[in-house]
Amino acid sequence: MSEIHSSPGYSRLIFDKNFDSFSEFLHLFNGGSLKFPDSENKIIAKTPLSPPELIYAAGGLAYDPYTRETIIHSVMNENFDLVNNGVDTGLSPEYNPWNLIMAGSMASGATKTTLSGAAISCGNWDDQTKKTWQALSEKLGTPVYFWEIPRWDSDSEKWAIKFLKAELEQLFQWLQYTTGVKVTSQSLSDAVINGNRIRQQLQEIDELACSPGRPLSALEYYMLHLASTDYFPNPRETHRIYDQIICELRQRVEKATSNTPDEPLRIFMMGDETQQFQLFKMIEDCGGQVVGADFRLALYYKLIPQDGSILDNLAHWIWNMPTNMPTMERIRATIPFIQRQKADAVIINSTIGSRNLPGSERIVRDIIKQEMEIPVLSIETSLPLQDNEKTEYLIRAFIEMNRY
Amino acid sequence: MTEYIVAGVDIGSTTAKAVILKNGEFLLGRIEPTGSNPAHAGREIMESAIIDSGYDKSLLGFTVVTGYGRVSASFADKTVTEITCHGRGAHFVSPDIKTVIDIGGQDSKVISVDSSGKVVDFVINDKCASGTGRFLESAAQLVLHVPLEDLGNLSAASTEICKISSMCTVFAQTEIISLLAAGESKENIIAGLHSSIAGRVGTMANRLGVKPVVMMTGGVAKNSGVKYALEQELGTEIIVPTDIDPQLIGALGAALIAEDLLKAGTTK
Amino acid sequence: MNTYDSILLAPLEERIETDSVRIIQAKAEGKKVVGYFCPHVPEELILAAGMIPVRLAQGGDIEAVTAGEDYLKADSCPYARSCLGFQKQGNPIYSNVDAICVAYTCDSMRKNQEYWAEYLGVPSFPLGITQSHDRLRSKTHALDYFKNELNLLASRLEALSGQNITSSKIKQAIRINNQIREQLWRLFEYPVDKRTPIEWRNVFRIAQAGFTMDRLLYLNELIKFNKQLAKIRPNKSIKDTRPRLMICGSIIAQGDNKVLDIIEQAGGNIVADSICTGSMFARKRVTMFGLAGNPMDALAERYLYNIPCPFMTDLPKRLGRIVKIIRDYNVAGIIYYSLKYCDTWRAEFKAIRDVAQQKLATPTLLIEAEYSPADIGTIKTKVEAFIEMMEGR
Repeated sequence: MSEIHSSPGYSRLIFDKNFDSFSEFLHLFNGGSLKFPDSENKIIAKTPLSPPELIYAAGGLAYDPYTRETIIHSVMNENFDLVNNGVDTGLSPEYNPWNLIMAGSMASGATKTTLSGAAISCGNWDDQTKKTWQALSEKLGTPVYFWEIPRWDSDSEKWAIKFLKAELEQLFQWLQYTTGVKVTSQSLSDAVINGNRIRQQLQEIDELACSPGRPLSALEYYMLHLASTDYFPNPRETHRIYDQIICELRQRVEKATSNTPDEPLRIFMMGDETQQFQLFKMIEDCGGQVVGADFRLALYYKLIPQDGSILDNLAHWIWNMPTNMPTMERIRATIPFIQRQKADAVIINSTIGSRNLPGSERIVRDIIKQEMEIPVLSIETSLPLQDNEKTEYLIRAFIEMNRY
Repeated sequence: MTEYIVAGVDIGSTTAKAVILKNGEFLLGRIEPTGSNPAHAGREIMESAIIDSGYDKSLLGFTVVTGYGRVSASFADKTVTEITCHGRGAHFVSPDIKTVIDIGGQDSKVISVDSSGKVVDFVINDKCASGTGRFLESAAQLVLHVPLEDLGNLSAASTEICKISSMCTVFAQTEIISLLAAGESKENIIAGLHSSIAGRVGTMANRLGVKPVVMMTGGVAKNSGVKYALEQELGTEIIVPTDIDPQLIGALGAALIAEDLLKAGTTK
Repeated sequence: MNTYDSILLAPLEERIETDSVRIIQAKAEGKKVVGYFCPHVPEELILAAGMIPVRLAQGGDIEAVTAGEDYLKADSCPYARSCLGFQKQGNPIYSNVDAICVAYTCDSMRKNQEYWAEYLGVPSFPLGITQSHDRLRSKTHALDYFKNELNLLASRLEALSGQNITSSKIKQAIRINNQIREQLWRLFEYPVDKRTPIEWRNVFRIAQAGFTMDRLLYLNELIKFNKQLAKIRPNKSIKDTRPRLMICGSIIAQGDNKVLDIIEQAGGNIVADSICTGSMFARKRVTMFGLAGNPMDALAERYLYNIPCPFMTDLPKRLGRIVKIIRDYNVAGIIYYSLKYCDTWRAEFKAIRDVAQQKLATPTLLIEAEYSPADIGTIKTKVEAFIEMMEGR
C-alpha cells in the first residue's frame, strides 16, 4: 500500500487491489509530491466543464481546483476545517461543499498550486462557482477572467455562436496576456487533437465499464473521470496513463469467465458529483453495478471536429454541450448514452448545498421514468464522513426491489 | 444624597438574571431558572432582588430589561438587546475589553466594542445548537451523565483531544456513544466537545476580527475547558469575570444603561 | 403611516384584487396577459404586442412556498418556490397569464422557467442576457447578442398575440414607461430630505402597486401623487432622529413584509434601497437616440446596461452604486436582507460590507431569512441591536 492509500480518507475506501495501473493514476491527485513537469508554463485555473484545450492552446497548464483541491483536502485528507476558510472569503455556509473546500484550500494556502490566473466560464455551470471565483479573486489577487457561454435555444443558434466566438477570441487575448503565448489556429488544432485522443479514451472506459466480466469497479470508474477536466499534468501524460489503464482493463475482459450467477442491477449515475466516495462500494455491496455516469459526460460527449474552422467547431461543440442545454433537452441528449451503457436503473445524486442540478432533479426523474421506463432513485449526499446509514438503506431497498 | 436603585433584568431562555445598582454602584445580582413563563420569571427575579437589596421598591428609579424574554416584560421601562448590554457590562468589569464572547444556552454571540464600551459590530449564531451551551448540555447530561460543573475539570484531565466530527448536536450524541463503546475515555471526549464548540465560536469570532482584550460572558464562561479550548483556537488570552458571575454581565449592562437613562431624565 | 400617506395611498389599497379582476375581464374580452419576474425583461415589447404586462413579484406566503416544493427542493430560493406555488394554487394573477417571459439569469430563475413550461403548461419565452458585459462596454458583441435575443422575444410575443410589433408601437410604450419611471424616480428621491412628506416604505408600496396596474392608469395616479406631494409644506419642527438605513439584497416581493415591519418597529428609518423591486426599475430611462433611432436598439441599451443583478459579474458597478446611494441619501447603516439560499446576493455581502465600512465607515447587518415567521424573534434582536449600535451616530 503506497503512502497515498494510507491517507485518512483513502484508507477508509476499498480500492481494487489488483488494479496495477490505477495506482499511477491515483498519484496524479496527490497534489504536492507530484510537481508540475513544465514549470515555466503558467498554471491557469478553469471550471470543471469547459474544454481544457483553450488553455493548452495558449501554452498554459490547465488546472481544475474545484475537482482537485476537493479530492485532495476533503476526500483524501479529511481536512474539513477548510470549509470555514471558504466561508471566511465571504461565501455562505449553505454553499456546495465542493466550492467551499476549493475556496478554503486556495484562500488558506493549503493548496500547493500557484495560479497565474483563472479562466472561468459562466453559463453552463452554476452561479455558485462563479461567485466563488469572484470572492477568491478579491482574496488572492489572482486575475480572474469570466467568459460566457450563451444559453441554448434552437432558434438562437446563429447569434449565440457568433457571440461565443467573440467571447473565445477575447479569452484567447487574455490568455496570451497571461501566458505570453499567442493562440493560433495551429496551436488550437494541436490542442484539440490531443484532447480528442483523451476523449476517445474516456469513451472506451465507458464501454469497458459496462462490458461483460465487470472489469472496472465503481470507485475506480468514478475517479477516472475526475482527470478529464484538465488533463493534468499535461495531455501526453494523461493519455499515456489512460492507455495503460485501458490495456489492463481489456486484458481483464478477455480473461473473464462468461457468466456470473448473480446478475447485478446495472445502474447509471446522474446529478451532482459526490464527495462521499464510500457510496460506490456501497452500491456494489447492495448488489448494484455502476455501468455509466453523466457527471463529466459533457466533456467527451463527442469529439471536437477538426476539419474546417477550428474556432467555429469549438464554438458549436461548447454550445451544444449537454450541460448548456435546458433540462429537457439535456436529458434527451443523455438518454442515448444511458441506453448504450445498457442501464436498468438510474440513481440521481444531489449534493446538499448545490442548487443547479438538484433544482431540476424532478424533471430528470420524471423524463427518465417516462421515456426509458426504468426505475429512478434520488439520494442526497454531503461531506465524506457524514452519516450515510440512511442512504445505504435507500440504495439497498432500491436495488432489492428491482432485482427480484 | 438621596438614595436610589436601578434594576437590570436579563430574561434568557434557560435562566433569568437581575442586577441592582445602588447610586450607580453594583449592589447585588441574582440568577434563577426561567421556567415556562418568561414575563413572570423576569418580574419575580426583579422583585426578589429588590427585596434582597434591603431597599424599598419606591426607590426604584429605572428598569431595563434585556434577553429573549424582554418582549413580554411589561414592567420594563425600556428594553435593550443583549448585545448592547453584554458590551456595556463587559466594559464596566474591564475597561480594556475590545471583544466579548457570550456562549449562552441557545445562541452564541461575538461582540466588538470600542474603548467606551459601545458596540461597533456583532455576529450571532442562532441557527443551530452546536457552538452553544445546548451542545454541551445534551452531550453531558444525556450521553456522558456528568454534571455540567464537572466538565472543565474532566477535560483538564484528558490525555488527548478526541475529535468529534459531527457538527449537529443530535448526530454528535450518536458519535459519542460509538466512541465510548470503542473505549475512548470520557475526559478525552469532553476535550473533543470543548474543541468543537471553540471551533464553531472561533470561526464566528474571526469573521469579526478578534481584538484583545477578549472576555467570555454567559454560563459557558464558567467552563474552564471551553475557555482553554477557545484560547487555543483564537491564539489569545481570555478573561472571565471573577468578582461577578459571568452570567450576570448582561443584566449588569442593562442596569448600567438604566442608570444612564435615569440620569438623562428619560421619560419611562 | 401619517394622515398624508393614508390619503395618498388610499387608491392603491387592495390593488392586487382590483387588478386581478381587471385582468380576468380583459381576458374575457380577448386580451392576452404576459407575466415576467425580472426587470431585465423589456415590458415595452409586451405592450407593443398589444398584451397586458404583469410583473409576478408576490411573495411572503409560506403556503405558496410549500406548494412550490412539489418542484423545487426546500433548500432553494423561497421566491422561486412561491412563484410556482402561486400558479399551482390558482392565485388570480399568476394563474391567468397566457405566457411568461423569463430573463435567463440566476439558477433559480432558470429552473423556475423550466417548471412553468413543463409542469404548469404555460408557454415560457426565455430571454438570454449576458452576464459579463462590463462597464467599459468593450464587449460590443454582448449588445449584439442581446439585440438578437430581444428580436426573437418580440417575434414570439407577436405570434402569441397575433399582432405585429411596429416601431411606433414600441416608441409609444417607451414614452409611457419613461414617464412612469420619471414620476417614480421623483418619489424615490423624496426621502433624501429629512423632512420628506412621504417615507420610503410607502414609495416602495407605490412601486409595487405598479406591477399589476394598467400602465396609463398607473401613470395618472403617479402624476397625481407627485402633484399632491409637491404642495405639502414640510413641518420644520419635526426632528426625525431615527437612524437612516438603506435596504439592500434579494428581491423583496409584494407581501414579504416581515423584515421591513421589524425594521420599522425597531425604530429604523429606511430612506434608500438597492433592490430590484424598488428604485432600480425607475433609475434609468430608455433613451431614443434621435427620431430616426431604432427603438429596439434603445431598449437593448437600457435593459442590458442597467445596474446589474449579482447574477452578473460586474461587482464594481454594484459597489459604486451603493457607495453613491450612501453618500446621496446620508445613510448611516445598511440592512442586507438576503433571502435564504440566494447564492448570488449572499456571496456579495462581504464585498459590500467591506466597501461601505472602508469608504464611508458605514456598518452593514446581514439578515438571511425565508418567508416563515419562525425567525421573527431572532431577526428582531439583530435589527434592534444594530439600531442601538447606530444611535448617536
